[in-house]
Amino acid sequence: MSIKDLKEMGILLPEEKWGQFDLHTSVNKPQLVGAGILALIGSVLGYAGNGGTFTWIGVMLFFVSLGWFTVISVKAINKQNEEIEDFLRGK
Amino acid sequence: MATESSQAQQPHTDLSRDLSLFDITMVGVAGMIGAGIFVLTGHAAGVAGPALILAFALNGIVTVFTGMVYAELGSAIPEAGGGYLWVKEGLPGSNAFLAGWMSWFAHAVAGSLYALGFGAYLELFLQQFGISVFGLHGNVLHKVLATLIIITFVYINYRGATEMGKMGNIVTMAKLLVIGLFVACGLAVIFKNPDFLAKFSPPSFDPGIRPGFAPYGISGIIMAMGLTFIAFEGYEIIVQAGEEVKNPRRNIPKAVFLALAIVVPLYMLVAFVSVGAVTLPPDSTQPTTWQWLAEQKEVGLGQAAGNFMPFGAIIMSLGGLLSTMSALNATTYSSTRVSFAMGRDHNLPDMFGLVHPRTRIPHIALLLSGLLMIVMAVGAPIKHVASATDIMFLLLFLQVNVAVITIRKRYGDKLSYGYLTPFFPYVPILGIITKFFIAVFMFNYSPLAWYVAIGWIGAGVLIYRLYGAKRQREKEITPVVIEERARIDRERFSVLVAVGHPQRSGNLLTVAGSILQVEPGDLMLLHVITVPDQLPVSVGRDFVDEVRPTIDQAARQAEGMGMSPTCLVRVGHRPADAIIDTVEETQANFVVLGWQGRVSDPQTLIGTNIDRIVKEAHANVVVVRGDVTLPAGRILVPVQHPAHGHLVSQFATPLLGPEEGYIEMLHVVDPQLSPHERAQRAATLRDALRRLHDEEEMAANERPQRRVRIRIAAGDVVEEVVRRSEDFDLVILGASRESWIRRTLWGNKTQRIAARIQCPLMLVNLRAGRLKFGVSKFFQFFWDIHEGVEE
Repeated sequence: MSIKDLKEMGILLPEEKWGQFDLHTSVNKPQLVGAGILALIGSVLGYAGNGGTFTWIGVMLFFVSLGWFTVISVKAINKQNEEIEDFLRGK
Repeated sequence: MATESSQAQQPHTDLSRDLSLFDITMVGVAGMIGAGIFVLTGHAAGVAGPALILAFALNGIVTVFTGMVYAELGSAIPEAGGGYLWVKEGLPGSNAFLAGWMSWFAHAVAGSLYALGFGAYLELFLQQFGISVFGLHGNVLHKVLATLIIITFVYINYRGATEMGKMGNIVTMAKLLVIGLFVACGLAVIFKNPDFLAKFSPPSFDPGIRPGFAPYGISGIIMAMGLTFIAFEGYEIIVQAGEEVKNPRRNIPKAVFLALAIVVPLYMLVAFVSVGAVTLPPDSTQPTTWQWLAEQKEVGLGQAAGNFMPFGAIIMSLGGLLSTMSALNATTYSSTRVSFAMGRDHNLPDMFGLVHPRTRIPHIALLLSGLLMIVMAVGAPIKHVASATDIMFLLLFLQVNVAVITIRKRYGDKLSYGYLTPFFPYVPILGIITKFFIAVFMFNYSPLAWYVAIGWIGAGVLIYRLYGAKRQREKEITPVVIEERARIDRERFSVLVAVGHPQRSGNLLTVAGSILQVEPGDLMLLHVITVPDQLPVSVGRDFVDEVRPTIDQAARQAEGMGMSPTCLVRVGHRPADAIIDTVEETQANFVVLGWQGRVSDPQTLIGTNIDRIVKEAHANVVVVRGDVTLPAGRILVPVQHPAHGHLVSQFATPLLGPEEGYIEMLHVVDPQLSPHERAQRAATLRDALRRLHDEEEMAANERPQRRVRIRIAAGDVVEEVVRRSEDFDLVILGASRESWIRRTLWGNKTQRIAARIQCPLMLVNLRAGRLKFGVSKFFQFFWDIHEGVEE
């Protein structure tokens, strides 16, 4: 495939806007790291707990981290879309 | 050299997007919660033990890495093909071919796995009623049933089974319900038993097995992750349907994350109750619940349900059957789609890209995918089939993780991303490492699966060298034909005519011409190419040449009537979607549609498509049945509600001939109504018409009030309208927006009238607010009148 193919699909930015949009993620990185660490701790506890209390604490932490990750991601998608729409409108 | 006007008449092919965030999330959930969890839980418990719950959690983490990559690419390149397309885009030469080749195998063999799961669950279901099939049981029976169900689904897909697609959300909800019931009952059993924790840390009675949570240690957990990876790959289907999603930049990445957020905790709960709620049967030879679960193999979940849930085995068997069938349908569809796409790209022989002229199904790709499914289902044990599928998906996703890096580098500044992966490129690199590691680790579980995978990849490389590379070079020098889009002025008044059959176009054009005589503007002709649900809408592009004569003929007819039409050809799964999209984009004021007069769905007013257009298209809609001759001599306008009176001023009057003829407003009342009340109504309506005449100066337009007659009749509405229609050239039935939506005011009466009258009929829904045709300000006036009037 080529730029021409992508153009025909209608998914490229207008040519005059190429290179102008800053490719930075809208994901809140500190929060993402927090959710990742929580998931990691949850998994380690899940294994180390050997089926006991710590395993279930670990599982709970994992659930919380997954929920947190989803919220972070959905917020990031909303923010990213707002940014790109503003960019396309020339704001 | 083409002139501007002739260019403007070039048909433009466009696609319709009709999947909402909910729909596409359900597609992803359906792709994941299905046969994988039903069929593989028992097998996975056999290697992970009670730590199966942890295997699911870790698989969730590994999946999230690639999920982020899919969210990024799906938001920026939302085209059918998903992973195959991106690898083709991001990686050079044979990688694209191999991605498609592996994807075809992975989806087809996943189908084999689901078919075998279907066989096992059907046997379990029949066992509950003591039914035996041909005296067969176990593996032999599973393989026989798997072959039969694969053949069945190949046939269903060959016939173009759109109903399966429509039922998708219902099937997904049913699966969620069954799994939810399983989890709820399991949790209830667990919390009644204070010793349940002991099942997650059992002693060992075998020197080769460790006591505790993870009897085979971390390696057992990793093997279970690899084995059940297929249950996490469903988000691939979200992006495969990318070109049919509304607002894909926002909805595709959201759907990926939401689907994972629903599925991962659910899997963990399933693992939790499968181990924790089961009570070992007295005759069990296994010392622990996880070993008992492993012994049940592919029907582990069904047997577990039978152990602790009332009617559990029957309910879970039904859930298993539903899941395996819907998953088999989905994989038949996706494997066909991938091999078809490869055939169309000339990476596989052209016969893969052939589409059946009648059903519009890629029948050769479908048959060969079915054959591959049967070979794998019959030729290998289920655990090796599952492992081969997992390895192939892992390698495919690995390639996508590489592709996202190259795509961001090559096209990043030109694409509009709805989501950008954080910590780039470390997240995709983590995805590559983890997937490669799990895939290699699977060799410990199933060396046969690796041999099959290597054999398939080797065959792919050979085919590419001998065939694909050569054809790829040929394709690259073939020029691309581009269709020019017609220019449409959204500010001007316009009428959109949906052109279907050439012989009926003239009739619709006559009506459109009549509207345009009153309010000059543009005429648009739209033809919709419909594609079965199981194919991407882009397939419809192949039929543009086929439908061209239809739209050309309509254009010539319109030109013969002195109009200069703009022609559009759209592709969609449903004509209504394409028409609604066109109205939205072009801001058309009127839509003129033909109707054969039959209603296939009794729940709809005049058919699913037209009902949707009336409800959702922000335009006035005219539905025409029969051969209308305009201007008409005598027009009958039944007025059941006073609001319909505006039809006379806004629509019927301009259709009336210049000299003779008249419009009759017919209002049918209850025979019990007193003469006094009838007279009052007559006076009110007469007064209304007089005011209408004065305010609009209708006399100046030679459309005097005296040509509108008012008649009140007592009796049954349908009978009266049918009886009076015999004396008229045209009947116009109107409907306010509420009545169309609520389907109460006209509802069945419209169908009954339409079914019985012989003369031409128009159903008109004038939409207030955007009305430029006629006199919209009188609309409100007629709402003020509560009942009809007598002559």
